Amino acid sequence: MFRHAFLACIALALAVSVSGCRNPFQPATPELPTGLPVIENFSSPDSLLTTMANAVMKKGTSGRNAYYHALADSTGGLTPGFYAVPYPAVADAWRLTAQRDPPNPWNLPLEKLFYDYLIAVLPGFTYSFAWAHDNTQSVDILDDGAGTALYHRYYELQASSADGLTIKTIAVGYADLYMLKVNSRWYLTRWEDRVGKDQSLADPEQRSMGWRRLDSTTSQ
Amino acid sequence: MVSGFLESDSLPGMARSKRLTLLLLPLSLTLLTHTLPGRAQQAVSARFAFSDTTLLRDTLDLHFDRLFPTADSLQMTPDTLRALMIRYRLVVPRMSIARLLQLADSLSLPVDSVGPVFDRERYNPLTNGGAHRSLTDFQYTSGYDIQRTTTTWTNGSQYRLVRGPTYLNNLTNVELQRFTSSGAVTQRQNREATTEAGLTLNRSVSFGGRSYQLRFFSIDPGSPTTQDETKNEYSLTARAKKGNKAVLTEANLASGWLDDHSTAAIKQGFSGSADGKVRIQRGTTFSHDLSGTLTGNLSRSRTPGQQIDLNTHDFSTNLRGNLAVLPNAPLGLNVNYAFRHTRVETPITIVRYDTTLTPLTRIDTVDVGLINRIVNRGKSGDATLRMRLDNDRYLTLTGNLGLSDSPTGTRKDGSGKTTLRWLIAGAALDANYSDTRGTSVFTRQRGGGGYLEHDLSRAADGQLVRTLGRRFVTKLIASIGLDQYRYVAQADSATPPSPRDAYRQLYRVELSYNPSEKMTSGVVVQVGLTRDINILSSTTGSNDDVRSYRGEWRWNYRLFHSLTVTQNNQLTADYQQYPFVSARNALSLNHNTLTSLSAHLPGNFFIDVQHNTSRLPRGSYLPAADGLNYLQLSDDSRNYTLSSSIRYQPAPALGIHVEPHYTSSERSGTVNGVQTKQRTDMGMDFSGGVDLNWKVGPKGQLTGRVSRSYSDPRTINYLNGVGTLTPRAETDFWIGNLQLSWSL
Repeated sequence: MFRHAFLACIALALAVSVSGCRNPFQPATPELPTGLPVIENFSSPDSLLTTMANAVMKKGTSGRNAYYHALADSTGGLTPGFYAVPYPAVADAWRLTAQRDPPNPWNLPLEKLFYDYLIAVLPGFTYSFAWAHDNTQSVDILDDGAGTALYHRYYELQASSADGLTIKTIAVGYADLYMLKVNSRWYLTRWEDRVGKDQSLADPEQRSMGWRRLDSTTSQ
Repeated sequence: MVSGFLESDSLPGMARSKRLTLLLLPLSLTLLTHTLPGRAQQAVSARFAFSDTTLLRDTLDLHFDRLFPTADSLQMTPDTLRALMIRYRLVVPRMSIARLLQLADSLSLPVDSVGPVFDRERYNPLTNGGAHRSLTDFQYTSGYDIQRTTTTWTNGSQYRLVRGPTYLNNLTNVELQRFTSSGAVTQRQNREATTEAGLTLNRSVSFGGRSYQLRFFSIDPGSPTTQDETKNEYSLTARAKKGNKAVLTEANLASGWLDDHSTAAIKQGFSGSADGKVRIQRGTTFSHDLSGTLTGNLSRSRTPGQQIDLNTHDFSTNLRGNLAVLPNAPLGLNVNYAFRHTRVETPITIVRYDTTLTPLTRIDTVDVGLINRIVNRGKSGDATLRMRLDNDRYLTLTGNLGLSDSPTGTRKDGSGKTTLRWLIAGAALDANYSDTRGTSVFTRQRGGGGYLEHDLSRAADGQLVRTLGRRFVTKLIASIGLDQYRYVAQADSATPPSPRDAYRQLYRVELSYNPSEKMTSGVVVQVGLTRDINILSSTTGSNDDVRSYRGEWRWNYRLFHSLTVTQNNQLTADYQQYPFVSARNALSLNHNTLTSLSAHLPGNFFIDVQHNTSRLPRGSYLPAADGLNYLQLSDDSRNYTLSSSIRYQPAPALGIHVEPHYTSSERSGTVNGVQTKQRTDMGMDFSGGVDLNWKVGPKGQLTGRVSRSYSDPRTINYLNGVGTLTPRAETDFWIGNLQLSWSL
């Protein structure tokens, strides 16, 4: 009886296999991705800054990881830690507005929290981040042998609504960016923020990244 | 099979070839078994031809005859059965597999419950039919365990006195622990004592009184609160046991006074518990076991430091049953069911903070006169229908249903499973198919939850083992599985996880060659695929497929009577492919060789030496000038380990061990085509000491191990090709544990 039952089971399995019924182990077909993840490239100071810009524009997990990976982390023992320094006039103005002292120093943990704040300033908007040479400063310094670099950059972060009719500036300003090369890989170690001479500190449309950093502490 | 796998990996349009592969697999296996020589029935089932006999090497004077078939029959792993025997050897006299099975059968228990029940029943006054006798039994155990940052001192005693119809039992345990971390010392002290005295009226009934004391004390410099607890419970007890082989009933009652002071609440009131068991058996055709427990208390409770007492009712019910119909017949049915319900009530206090200050400052604690009630409920059931010719030929069908409910949510699940085991022309076939579905409701709380999760898990696997002639054994394995998770938000603000699938398949071929007792050898080829599939477009960028190819060759050769060499070589390649981001495709390789020398020299010297080398290159596929992607190494690690264990046993009571261990590893990274050394690690660990198994007087025993451990790791970090040696960081400490046991 059992031999017959066994043979019946085998026959049933074969019949099911050839009958063309739905494969019970067929996984779902994924949707096509809406955008590619950020490709992390830290092989030169320029590619590091491009990766950071893409990270801000991409948002999401991929962007967050790329942004974090661009920053120097002293816990690994190979590099010093990352620090950001706000422009003194911005820090003073923010102190008056927020009625509290700015965090000092601005280190890696605060910068990681800042990324999540920054990409959520206008959640439904598409971000556009651009670097440009800072013509108000001397030329960039790059010493590949010593593995150090100091770049002066103008930056602008804009957000556009889904219909493209509304465009807002989230951050605009200047930055002196100190970078360090370790084992052929570049890290951002210091961001010294500045604002332009004609930039209004009272205008919400002309906030610098330094101001946005300080603002991020009020939302935590 | 390998080609079938590769074809099935092709993208859309290949569903037909997958079905063909499914069809061809059993056919090819069946043909293979019919064309091979040596079709006569094997004396020992081929199913256990690959059993690892190293499990049998033990020094506790235990024998594990028929370990693998017995474990297989009990549907547990051989090492679990072996571990149970070692654990119970002090409780169950003359321990052997046959003895363990006999006791499990006699007590109507699963084998993993024999030890605890055997130990517990020693203190049941109705054991041995409540026979009046004179007995004094006392056991004392003291142990001290010291590790690098932890010390534990335990003291325990068991006292049993029987004088005619009266009895007195006492169990006392004291455990004192110290943890050192960052210069701070954490202490935990637990003291428990249970004492019961009473009178055995006849073979079926006894009465008595029981007291239970608990003292828990802790100091943790890193924690603002403690977990201290002082608990006293005094109760009157009654036991009853009646029945014969056909019907057996047991009931235990306890009721009394509870006084519990913990950091969560102070509870004072009446407590009670009742548990019972009914077993009905009709020969070998039918048996039904039903056991249940009720515990609860009616208390006046308050939070420590507060004044208002509230009425709280804690209650717990647990009911379990098992129905077995024709357990030894060719067609049998087994049904299990369980219900549980617990309710715990504690007073609520509200802590008020001043939110205008930074950081927030605590103002006070307010007693609001409310009770927090936590309820957990659950019920489950399963049924198994078994059609069985013998242990090598059967088919089982199993289904189960479950429901659980707790403050964090509810879960309903159901599953079905089919297991087929058959011998086909001397080949042992095992096939399984299972399908599990569940729905979990995550309650919206603390910013999380608020959604439903529907999960589905399907798996099928098959294994065919066959001996070929006298010297070859083959094993073919194939498996496939799919897990699916889907979510439905139940609140507007809820953010459920992204829906996803996980797919896996594996094919494996093993061939073992056993030319003589001196030498064995074997090869393994394995091909696998795992796919992580996120469904929504926002998350599919991280989807990946990992195709693993693995080859293994192992051999074992006995050079001399007391010297054996074993070597295992493995090659693994994991191709990680991102279907939507080919720029992230990567390859990980691993080559590992493990060589072992094992020697037993005259004079009770045992030497084991192991040498392990591994190389792990890893890289990504990057575009070259010709537009094609080529593998470029991103990092490369080489690891070496040399370890040995030397043991000398001059006497049964004393053993000496020395265990040096050396490791070395080098890691290099490649950026922009340039390979540079990044890190070198070297380390020397050494451990040496003595093992004791000493008789202290006629009834005492001192056992344990005391060792000195020394470690000296060094690291060189390379910065732009220049190495920096880290400072020496030696660690040197004693570790050990000693246990003294003594009985009257």
